Amino acid sequence: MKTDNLNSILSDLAETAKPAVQIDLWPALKKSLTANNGQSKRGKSILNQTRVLRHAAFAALVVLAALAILLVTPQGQTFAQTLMKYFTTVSQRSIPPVPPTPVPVPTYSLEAVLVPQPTISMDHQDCGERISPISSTFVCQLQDAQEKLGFVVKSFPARFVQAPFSFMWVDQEHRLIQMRFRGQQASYDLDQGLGDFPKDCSGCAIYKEAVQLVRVGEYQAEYARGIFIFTDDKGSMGWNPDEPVYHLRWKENEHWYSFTMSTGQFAGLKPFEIQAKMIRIAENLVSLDQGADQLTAGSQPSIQDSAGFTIKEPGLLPEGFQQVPDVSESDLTTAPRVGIGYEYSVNGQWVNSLTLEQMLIPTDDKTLRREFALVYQNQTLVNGNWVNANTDEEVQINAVTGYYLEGADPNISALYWRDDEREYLLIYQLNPDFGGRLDKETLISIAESIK
Amino acid sequence: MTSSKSQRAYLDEQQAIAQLKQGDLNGLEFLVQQNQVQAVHSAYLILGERASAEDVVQTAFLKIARKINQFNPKYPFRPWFLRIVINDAIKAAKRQQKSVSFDKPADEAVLDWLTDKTPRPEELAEASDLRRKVWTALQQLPPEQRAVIVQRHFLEMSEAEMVEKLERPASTVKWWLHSARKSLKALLAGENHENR
Repeated sequence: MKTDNLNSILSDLAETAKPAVQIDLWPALKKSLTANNGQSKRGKSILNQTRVLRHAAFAALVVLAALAILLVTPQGQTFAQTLMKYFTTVSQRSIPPVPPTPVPVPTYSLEAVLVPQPTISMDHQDCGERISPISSTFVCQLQDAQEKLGFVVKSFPARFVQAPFSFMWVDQEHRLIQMRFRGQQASYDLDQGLGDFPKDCSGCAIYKEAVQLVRVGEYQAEYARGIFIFTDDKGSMGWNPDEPVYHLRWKENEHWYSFTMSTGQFAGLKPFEIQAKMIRIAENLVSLDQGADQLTAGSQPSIQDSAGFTIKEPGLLPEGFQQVPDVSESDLTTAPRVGIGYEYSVNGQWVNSLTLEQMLIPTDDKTLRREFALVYQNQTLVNGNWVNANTDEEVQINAVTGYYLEGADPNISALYWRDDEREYLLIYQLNPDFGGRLDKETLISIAESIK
Repeated sequence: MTSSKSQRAYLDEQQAIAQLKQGDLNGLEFLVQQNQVQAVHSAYLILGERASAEDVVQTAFLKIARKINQFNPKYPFRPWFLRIVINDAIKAAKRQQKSVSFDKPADEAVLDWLTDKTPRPEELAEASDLRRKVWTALQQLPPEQRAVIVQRHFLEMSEAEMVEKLERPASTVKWWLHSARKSLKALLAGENHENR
């Protein structure tokens, strides 16, 4: 039996038993209500208004008295300050440009050193010998994070959030974790930790007037919509309350939670619906103890498994470089490809970066080399032919001929090479504000260490 | 056009809720007029009795009149109200321990309709027979499974909506639906077999 038949049969059954035109509950209801209240022939009141008003006035007096007592005492002042304490707020709608703070960075060539292998932090048969953002599933990474942090990490409930896991970042020193899920219609970010909320950077702060007090279950929470966006090319920022970025923060005993949801303009949800949805999600966060099937992305395979080929990683990296958690896996369905990023940051400021792209050799001309030429070398089409203003230099990488590519921007360079099944592009980018540089030979050493 | 209509309806509903919160019965009257048909029909499909269905819905309206201050006006009213009706209907059905067979029809109107002797075209007769079988099979399901079928196939809620309204994991709702459909199918197959 088709389901649309079942739908119409049920409608027919109900309509036949009691036709809609014969349903009129109001007279009986009205009678019942007025009889219960013993008043209001005009049908204007359900409850005794005088009693309600008396109760309301009394309740208001109690609240006012309590507030008055609270606010004149030191404890009361502390309480008042805690009313808005979760977001880092600023009272201006605009933020002037912040000049970069010089950091001590070597101005000589950086040296490649062996990449330390991650230690195994737990004994879990299904998670392999080591945990990595590439070869480990979300569930394994989460389990590992809990071991490192020493507390139960909560995550999004599968029943309310359907979005692929993107990455997580664990800060053992400050005992916090950040998790990112990127759906087609919305992105969901969840940060959590012990103690107090970390202080946000000025551009990451929230405009004070945008913060609303709400509740997440029994806990007081703060909610805001909007973000600071760049308003000129000098780095000035202005608060944009219409950006579809929504923030919710709350604390549960010693744990703090920061939930950010970003939607496209097309998501079709009204702001109040998003607020309600976020609160619903926040009230229903789940942990791994409740079962992997309760977690968003609980059954998501690792990037390694999604890619369908063994992802190679460098065995050498310049000193100070660390893998950034955001591993890209663009176009996995059409052209299996994975990008892994490594950065050298000092005091939170980006100094140098390396990106390793690897992709199965395409059958058309959409190669990584061509992509680099288009994006970084300003390749142009002249008389139907692509012309590259740069001269690519042939190099040997493990006895394979590759190319050392220089970008139009002198702070960008790359190595490109192929093996039997895939092509590789190792892009190096330098922040000119800080100096320090990887030379060609060091890049080749890194490329040769990839396995 | 549709969007402005639905927006107007939404605003009317919000106004009615605000009136009701102030103790004005006109607000409740509006909510009753807007929701009583779907509520009574849903309760009827779960309970199998018209009178009980109306009782459940009437009680639900009285309940929400008293509890309207607990209602968050940011949510639409109807799903909230229908959830109360369906939960109450399940409870009432359990109390009755009903398991209606077609040999003992509880509702004479449905029996009259299903056994209508008025000559009709062949295809209408077939359709009527199918309805009778569905009704019989539906009433033999446990109340919770009946409720799931009603929500999915009468109220036409999506699985996602059911997950949200029932506050149960997606896997549970899927299992309930699967189980209810399977039971319904088995009951219909059994009846076909018996009729041969």
